[in-house]
Parts: sequence; structure tokens; C-alpha cells
Amino acid sequence: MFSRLLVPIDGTPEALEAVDAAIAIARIGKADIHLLHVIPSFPAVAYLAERTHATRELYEREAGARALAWLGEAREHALGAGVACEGDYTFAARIHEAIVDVARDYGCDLIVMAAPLQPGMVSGLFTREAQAVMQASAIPVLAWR
Amino acid sequence: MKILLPVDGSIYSTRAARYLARHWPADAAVTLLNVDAPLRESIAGYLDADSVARFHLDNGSATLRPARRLLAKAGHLFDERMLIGDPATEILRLAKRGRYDLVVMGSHGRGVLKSLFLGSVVVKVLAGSSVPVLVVR
Repeated sequence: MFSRLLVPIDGTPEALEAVDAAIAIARIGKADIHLLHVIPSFPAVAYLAERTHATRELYEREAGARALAWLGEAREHALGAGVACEGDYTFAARIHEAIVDVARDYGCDLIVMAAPLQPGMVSGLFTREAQAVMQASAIPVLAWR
Repeated sequence: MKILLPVDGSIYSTRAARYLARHWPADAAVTLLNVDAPLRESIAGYLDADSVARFHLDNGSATLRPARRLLAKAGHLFDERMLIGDPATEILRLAKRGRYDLVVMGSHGRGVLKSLFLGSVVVKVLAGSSVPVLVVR
């Protein structure tokens, strides 16, 4: 059925539910899972470059540590269910592009991502990134609710 | 697993059908759906109810044909539904009332600006669906 699923996560409970859904799908077809957390790049500014440099390092270190914790938690879910799983984080200015690129690079054949309903929002506005991924991705995207 | 497969006869919805035919879950109960837009009052007013019904039946049947052929050729069993109304509204209503587990759709429909944006129906379904939606490009 599928050989490798890409599951982008953002640390929310909804993302973890999408991981569980991907695990269920992966178990049917004996697929493995690739987890991804994309951290928005630190904005580059020329002004106060020295201070910015220190701030950027701090930002990247803390965001990286947080990403590893989320990836570890999601990975435990998968390994606990007997599904092979690895994960990584990356920095990118455009999150949806990074997701699509990683899906292609790792030969994934399905992207599973949380797209929670956002009550009170204008109709047509579900999770922005999920919609951007669907527009950019050549492989199917499962919007998990 | 109950799966709703709305199609509009476009190349994208046929791709979604082909995708589902290839990735058919073992316990799948699939409903192939077409929602036909209602005739304008100004036109429908000149026709008797039978003619209008015949018009929608012909439309719906022709629209379902490519997907129906694909699924049948792959040896799958499925149900068919034809509804009249706003496509997104009817898809959402049926997905909810029929307690479907998944909606599978093409990323674009018959509208213009095909490559740039997601289809308007799929965006509305994504915005309103309480069940997961698989979007196939």
C-alpha cells in the first residue's frame, strides 16, 4: 500500500493524533514513518548584527531542543506500535516547501498532517500550512481531523 | 472503513479514483458520489419534473462513468450516489450523516486557475469536514 509516510509535527496534540493515524496506516502496509518538524528560519537583519547573531544561536538551540523532544515523543508512539520511524528537524523560511522537499527527498508516498478545524474562522481557512502543502505537493496529502 | 469518493468527472477526480483503486483498504465500503448543481429556476421552470430528473440523472451518470469504470476494472465493489445541490454542502452533509471515516478527493475540479490553487469545492470540504480528507493531486 504505502512504503513511507511523512508526518510533519508541530508539537500540538492534533499533530500527535496525526502521528497515531499514520501509525495505523503504516501498520496495514508495513510502511515506515518519517517525522519532520520545520522551524521557521530566524529572520535575517543587518541592523545590530552582533546582537542578532547571539540571539539567533539561542533561538536555533532552543527551537532545536524543543523539536527533538517532540520528535522523540512521536517516535515513541511509532516504535511502541512496532512501526519503524525516524525523524528530523530543519530550518526553513517557507514551511510548506520544506515539507514537500523532504517528502520528495525521502521517497515518501503519502503526507499525513493535522488540519484541525478552526471554529470561528472564516470558511476556507483551515490550517494554513496544510493547505499550502496540498497546493505544492505532488504526492497525496491526508488532512487528519 | 467507510470512504466517500466525490467525483466531478474532471481529470483530478479520476486521479483520486485511480489512487483509491490502487490503495483500496481491505475492509473498504466505498460510495462514489456526484453532486450535480441544480438547474437555474429560469430554465427549470419550463421543464416538467420528469425532464429535470432525467437531466440530472444523465448528467450524474455521465460524470460518474470514468471513476466507475476505473473501480470496476480494478474489481472493486462500491455504492453510487447522485445528489443535486451545492457540491461542498452535499459532500459535507453526506460525510457526516453517513458516518464516513474518510473523504477522498482530487485537488482540483473543473474550475479555472487549475494549477495555482486548490479547487473551491475541496477547500470548502476541508474547511467544514469533521472527518479526515485525502487530497490527491
